[in-house]
Amino acid sequence: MLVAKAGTRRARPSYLMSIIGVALVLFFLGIVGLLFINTRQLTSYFKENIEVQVILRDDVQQATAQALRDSLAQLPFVKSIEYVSKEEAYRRYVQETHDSAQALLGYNPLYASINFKARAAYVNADSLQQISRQLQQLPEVREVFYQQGLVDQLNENMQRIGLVFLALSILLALVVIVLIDNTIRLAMFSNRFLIKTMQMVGATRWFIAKPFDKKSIWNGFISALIAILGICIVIYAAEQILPELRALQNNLQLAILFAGLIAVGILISLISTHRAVMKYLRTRVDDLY
Amino acid sequence: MEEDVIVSLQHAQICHGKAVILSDVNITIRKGEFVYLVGKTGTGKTSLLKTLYGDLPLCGGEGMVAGFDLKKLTWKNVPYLRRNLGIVFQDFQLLTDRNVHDNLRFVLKATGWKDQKLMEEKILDVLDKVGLKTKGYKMPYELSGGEQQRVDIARALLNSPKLILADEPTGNLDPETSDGIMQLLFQISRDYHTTVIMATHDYLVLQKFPSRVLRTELGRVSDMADIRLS
Repeated sequence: MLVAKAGTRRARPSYLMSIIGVALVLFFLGIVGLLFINTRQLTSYFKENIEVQVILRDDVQQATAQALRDSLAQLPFVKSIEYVSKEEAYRRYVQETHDSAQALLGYNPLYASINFKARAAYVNADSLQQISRQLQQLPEVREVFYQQGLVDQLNENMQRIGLVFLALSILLALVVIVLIDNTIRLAMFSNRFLIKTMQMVGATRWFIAKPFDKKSIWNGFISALIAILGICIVIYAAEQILPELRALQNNLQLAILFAGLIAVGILISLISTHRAVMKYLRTRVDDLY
Repeated sequence: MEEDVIVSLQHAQICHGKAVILSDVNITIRKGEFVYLVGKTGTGKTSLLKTLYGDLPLCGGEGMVAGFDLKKLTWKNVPYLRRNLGIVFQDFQLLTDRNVHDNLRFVLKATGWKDQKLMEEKILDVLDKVGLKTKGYKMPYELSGGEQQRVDIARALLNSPKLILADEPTGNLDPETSDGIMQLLFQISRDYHTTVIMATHDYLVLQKFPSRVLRTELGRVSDMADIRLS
């Protein structure tokens, strides 16, 4: 019975190790993918928090200002918009600075304004400049103000981070392919005599490869599931530490990432297995030793 | 070519890689014949068998095996040649990851059998022929060497082959077990008119079970007709 046990055990570990190996690399690929997605999310988050202030002339009536606010709200680049009256602006100013200018000057020096936050896609130096130029031509507008330096810097930094992640992803993808390919070929190496024997009894190449291919699809799928489980644990743990991360979560992108991992897992597993089986099918028995 | 010629080699050259192992080989083997292939280790017995079952290409001359032209073999039609042959190995070469029954079942499925009932009947039939009717559930490593060799022969019988090629089938077995295997092979050859070519260097076997002998020696194959020892 002892012999029997040793024998049954012999056939399994190669698959188990290749599943775990593939799962590990997919996990790291997924983490980099997650960081990449989150950088973009984070960029959008920052960008959509940059406020553009359209400062109105003092002679503009509140009703006109409200109407302007409503028409601006229809524009495609506006994400959120609010009208801040002279009084409201002053209230906010006092709240921020604890300073009462009115007491000193005898009048409210602040202007009414329409403040809006632009959609991320429009928050770059060119678009914002163009938008502000157009707005400036409106008769009601005194000036348009936004922190241009901040926008430039944000874009520059995010572009740099994005490039680093992209390079990292490509590098990791290459490592993944080579590593998975090797792991699987090693697993198939232990099957080389089995494959040869099947050939000796008159099985066609296709017939021999089919069950290995099927199993590899299944193995790739399991690997991807393990990797996804690991990534979910990481996301959960990160959210426990930094609850703000929840605001960044985009379920659709996460779903795409997971689907991508499953596709990569299955494809690489299948291609590597098929290649390895074909290699042993083409090799003569004597060259297998 | 005559109907009952199973193997025919004319001026054949047997190579292994670029090295010529045997040259000017001329053999004709007919239906139901039992032929020994003898010779020292390294004289080309195995290479000759491998050429016959399409694992080595025929590198010169003409060759026909079970109706297949050896010159025209490609990886695509080799499986179909092998379905007409039964190959018995010295080291059995069973599929170690499945039991005896599934080893045989794999061959049937691989060679195009579809009907479950017929497959079960055939498996029982060949196991019965080799005297292992009750051992179908065993894993290969749970069997003795003689039993594994019987499974190997059962596997070779599945597709009622015209030709059985056996490469030192008794090489790993003790004399008593060898006798059992030899009786089995002779019985198969006699009862089903199956041609058997068996490579061996066990002269004890030749003495006990005399038949036609081909000898590989010095790059040639010589036909020694029957050895009959009193």
